[in-house]
Amino acid sequence: MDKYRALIILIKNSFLLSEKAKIDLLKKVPQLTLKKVEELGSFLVYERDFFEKNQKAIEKNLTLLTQNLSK
Amino acid sequence: MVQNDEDQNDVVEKTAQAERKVAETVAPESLEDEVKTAVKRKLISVATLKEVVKQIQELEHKAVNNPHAREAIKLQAYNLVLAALAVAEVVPGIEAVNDLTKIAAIAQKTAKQGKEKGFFAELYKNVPPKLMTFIEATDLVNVPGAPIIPELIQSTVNQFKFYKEGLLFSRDLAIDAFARFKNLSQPSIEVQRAKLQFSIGK
Repeated sequence: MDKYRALIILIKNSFLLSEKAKIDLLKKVPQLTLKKVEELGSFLVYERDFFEKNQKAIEKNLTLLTQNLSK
Repeated sequence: MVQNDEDQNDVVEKTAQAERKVAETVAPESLEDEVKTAVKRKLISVATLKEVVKQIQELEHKAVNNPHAREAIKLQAYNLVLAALAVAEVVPGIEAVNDLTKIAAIAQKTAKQGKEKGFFAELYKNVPPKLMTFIEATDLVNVPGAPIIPELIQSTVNQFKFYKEGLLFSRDLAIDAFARFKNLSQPSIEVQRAKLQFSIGK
């Protein structure tokens, strides 16, 4: 698996990005420099690690948010 | 995808309708037009939320003697705050996140009342410090690949900003985020392999 392919997978599985943002970014991937691919890929790995490590806190916040918005 | 496009077109149309309604109800003063144009342009092109806050403050100062323009700016600022809150809500590790949760709930209730009255001053007066707290917290995260982050944040902000005329952060949106997050607990082998291609410089 090369970095471009890896980046596409990470974009598709990103939590933070909206579906539209994912599509926009995926269109740009072939034109990205290797440096940009490294930057974006590293960020998305960070994002994923961050969410995985803080899963309970995120779930708590999302639950609170959902409850508050239901009132 | 087609549905998304239709939804987005619907939102754009509703936004345009709202802008026309505002234009019909306020005095046609050049300052207001100038401010509204500036707000619109800046909302689209701004690179970071910090820059948005700065520009909103400048615009508010400029419109201090024009109540109609001031209300329009408050509405735009309010939209930005909701967007920032929406982003902050799914990012833990921010000390203010519990406060932001409460503020989001208050903002939601205020929006329902304020939408009818067209009045957001009570909410807006507390906006900049909270927004700055969020921005400062994210700056402290020390994320690799920092140069691209403003683009990503802006993409997310735009997503929330245009949702339901950019006015209300909905329960459905939170539930959708929750559902997507749940999938993270079982990352696929493909994702795990993809992660190995990048180092994150801890």
